[in-house]
Amino acid sequence: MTHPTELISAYLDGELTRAEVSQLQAHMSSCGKCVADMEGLQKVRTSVRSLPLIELPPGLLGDAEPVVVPLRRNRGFWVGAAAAGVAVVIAVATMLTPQPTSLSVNDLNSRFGARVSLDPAFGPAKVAVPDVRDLTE
Amino acid sequence: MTESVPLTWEEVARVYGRKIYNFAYRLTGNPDDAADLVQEVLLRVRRGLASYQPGSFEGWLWRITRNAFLDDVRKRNRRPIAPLPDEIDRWELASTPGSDVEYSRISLGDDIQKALLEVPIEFREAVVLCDVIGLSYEEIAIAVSVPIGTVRSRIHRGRKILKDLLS
Repeated sequence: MTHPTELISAYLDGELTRAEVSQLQAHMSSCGKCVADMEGLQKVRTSVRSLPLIELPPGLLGDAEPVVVPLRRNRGFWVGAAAAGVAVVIAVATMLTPQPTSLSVNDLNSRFGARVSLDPAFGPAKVAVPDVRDLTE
Repeated sequence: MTESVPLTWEEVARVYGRKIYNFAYRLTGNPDDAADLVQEVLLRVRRGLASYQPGSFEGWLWRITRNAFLDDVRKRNRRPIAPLPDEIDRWELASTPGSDVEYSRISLGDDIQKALLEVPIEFREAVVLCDVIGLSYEEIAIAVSVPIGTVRSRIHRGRKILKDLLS
């Protein structure tokens, strides 16, 4: 099986075309390895994005006082949040499913009542992620 | 993308100074090197603004920034000096000791920062431009002068190396 691994990072960044999203979605519904890869890459992405902001050393800009602007644009945040939600649901589902390779998006929807989509256009308001504690009880 | 282009280098310094510093810091892991790079970039911006053609200002700015970084790396590689001490020594030798609060903030991301420094430069800069600065793949492609497909590949490979290093 050829794994479209390179699509995973671009998916997390909301940089895939609609056709590529469909391709990834179709593949991941039957590939536990790529689900695990997405989980790992999502963690790395979040870690780097969570690095603390380093303030400028005093006086570096001379008389030009720095303007406080967001270091990172909001673009991608909701995509990341939605992807994180999807990753959590898929990860939990993977743990609870005896044969992960048979996991499908429809299974997730019916099993956990969650709206699951790999479409980065989905924002958190459209992705209802069940409480992980509820699922594991 | 509609962007208002800063008219003076002072405005560039005020608006982008902190971003450039963080980009440089995450690439070099060293506050002094990052500060030097900020000054070099602002100097190049000052010289280049007169001939700037309206377009992607951020692409232009980050191309200058990464070129300044790469020039510095090349210069260091040519310089016949004693081997660099390891990263911890470099941090301790930073000439401007910050407050305890600032040090603890820096330490929070210590493992990730150290791992970043192990990632080959072309992958590291792609990851930093994407995840620290927040550029789109298109903007990174302009800044680095490579096709978007290459940006995609570099970000993925950079994150994969980080994942292996951190696991």
